[in-house]
Amino acid sequence: MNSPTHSISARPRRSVIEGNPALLVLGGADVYRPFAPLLNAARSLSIPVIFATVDAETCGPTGSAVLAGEGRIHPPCLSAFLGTPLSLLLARLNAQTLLLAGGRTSVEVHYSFVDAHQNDFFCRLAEDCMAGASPAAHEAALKAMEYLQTGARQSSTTLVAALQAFEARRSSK
Amino acid sequence: MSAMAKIVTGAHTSSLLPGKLVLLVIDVQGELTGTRYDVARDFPMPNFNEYMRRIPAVIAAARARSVPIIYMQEVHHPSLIDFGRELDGFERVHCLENAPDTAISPEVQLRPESFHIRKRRYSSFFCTELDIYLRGLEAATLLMVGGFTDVCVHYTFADAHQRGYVCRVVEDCVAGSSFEAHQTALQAMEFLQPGSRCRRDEVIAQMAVIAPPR
Repeated sequence: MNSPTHSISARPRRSVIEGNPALLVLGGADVYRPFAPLLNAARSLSIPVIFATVDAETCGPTGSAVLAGEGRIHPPCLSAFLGTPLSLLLARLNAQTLLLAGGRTSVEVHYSFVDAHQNDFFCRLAEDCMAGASPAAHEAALKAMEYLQTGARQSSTTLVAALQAFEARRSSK
Repeated sequence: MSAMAKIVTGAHTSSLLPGKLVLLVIDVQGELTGTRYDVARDFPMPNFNEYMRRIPAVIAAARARSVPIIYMQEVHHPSLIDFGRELDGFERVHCLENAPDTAISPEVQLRPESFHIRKRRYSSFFCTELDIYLRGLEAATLLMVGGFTDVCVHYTFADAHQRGYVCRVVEDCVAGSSFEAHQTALQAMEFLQPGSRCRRDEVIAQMAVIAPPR
């Protein structure tokens, strides 16, 4: 029998961005200094941005207003996928890699990540643009997400560079 | 909207097992007699099977009081087409349908009349019939045992929590990919629903009180 059970040990080598990216902004992202450069990079490179907001507010106290054409969802639970059209939006955008910023690392981020993971998306975290319910919970959630996808943990600087490289590849085609 | 807000803030501080109870046996598969510790990968947590071997007593207590039992079983097609992103992280190829270790462990006594659901992702809710069974059983509280604490149990718990179920995790009957991950996942579940962590002895004692045999 040709069962590959024990023969496959090599990990798939994955890039920071596999396929096309989209940026998912969870609540409170604006309080993190590195968030503005990440959002601006996405916008200037025409990377789709989707804001998940609990109510009619913008994504944070300093107010990155949602621009025309940007996605907006209102998750009623913790995962941004549950009870929202996020899957459908991402499918229409032909996005395969989801960049996450904002939210509580151990709550909205972790459970959104899990749903994205189970829906076959590649997930990358701007880990300097989020905080946990506690510092220990933040670190534990980051480890749990890295367990699911090697390379999940990224800095916003790395993500900006990856978006720029993506755009360079796209425009050279 | 306000009902959902209540759910996610997790105010289930009533009795240990309120309302109609269902026992969820999550991914108890393969040999429970030996050790499955992979020293080279430090995986899964030490004494994993000892935790699993505590489960049959919970199952016996549930059966004695006619508490419905749902067995979850993770399976994957030998072609590997249904792994999604599961091989992009720490886990390797696992639970192939044609592998003997994928079978539900005989110790947990799956019976022909048992509820048995196969799943291809971590959460027991993801693309499965679990929700339909739970509605049919009018379940209010889900009691969870099995593995891994930090993966299938945690993500099943999170989905159940967000769907409004009272969740209880029997902390000496679940085991994780590492001891640290086991502990932090239990803390995360307790954060979602304060009071959700419980121990086997108290659960068995409570089942005798709350669920009269039919």
